[in-house]
Amino acid sequence: MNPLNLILAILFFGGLVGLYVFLFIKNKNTPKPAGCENLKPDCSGCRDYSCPNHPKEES
Amino acid sequence: MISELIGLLITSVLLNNAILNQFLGLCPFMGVSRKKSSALGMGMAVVFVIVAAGLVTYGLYYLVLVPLHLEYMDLVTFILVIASLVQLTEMFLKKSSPALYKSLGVYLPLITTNCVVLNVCLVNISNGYDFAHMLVYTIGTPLGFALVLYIFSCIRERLDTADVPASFVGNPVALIVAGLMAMAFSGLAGII
Repeated sequence: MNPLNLILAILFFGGLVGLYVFLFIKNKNTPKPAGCENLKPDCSGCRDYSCPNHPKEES
Repeated sequence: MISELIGLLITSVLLNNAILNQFLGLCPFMGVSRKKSSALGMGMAVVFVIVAAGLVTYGLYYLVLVPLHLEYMDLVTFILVIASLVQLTEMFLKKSSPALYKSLGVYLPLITTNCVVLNVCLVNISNGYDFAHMLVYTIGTPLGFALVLYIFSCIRERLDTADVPASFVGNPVALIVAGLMAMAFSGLAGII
C-alpha cells in the first residue's frame, strides 16, 4: 500500500472520530427543551442489554 | 427511466421490505411496536435519518473516498457518519424545534444502532446506483420500514385484547404475526 494513502486513511479516520466526539459532547451539553427532561422511549426491549433504552430487569 | 424508478420504489417499500424480506431492524420492530403512537414516531424518525444518512454517505463516497482511493474504508466511514448525523440531528431538534424533539428526539439514539440505516448506505454503493436511483431507494426503504412498523403496531394493539393462549402471550404471538405479514407481503411479488 502507498504510504501516502495510508496516512490519508489514518487522517480521514481520525477526523471522523474527532467529528463524532465533538458532536457527542456538544449534544450532551445542549440542554433539553422544557418538558422533555425525562422522556423515555416506549420500548419494551429486545434482549439487547447494552442498549441504553433497554428496560433493565431486576435480578 | 421513470418506470424503472417507480419499480424500484415499489420494490423497496413492499417487495424487498427491510423488515419482512431482509430481516433488518428487528430490534425496533419488536421493541417499539406496542403502541401506534410510538411506532409512528419511530417510523418518522427513521425516514428522516435514513434519507439524511443516504445523501451524506453517497456524496462522501463519490466526492471524498473514491478520489482519495479510500473505498475500502466505506463501512467504518458510514458507521461514524451515521452516528455523527444522529448526534447532529438530535442537537438541531433540541435547539430549533422542541415540539419535534418531543415526538422524534427520544427515538434518535435507538436509530444509531438500526442496521437498516447502514444497509441503505452500503446498498447504494454496492449496487452502483446513480443519484436518482439512490434517492428513490433511500426514500423507499425507510417508508417500507415505517409502513410495516405501523401496521404491526396496529395488529399488536388488537392482540392485547385478544384471547391468546398463555404460552403465546407477548413476543411469541408477535413473531407469528410477523411471519404471517412476511408471507402476505411476499404475495405482492406478482405486481412487478
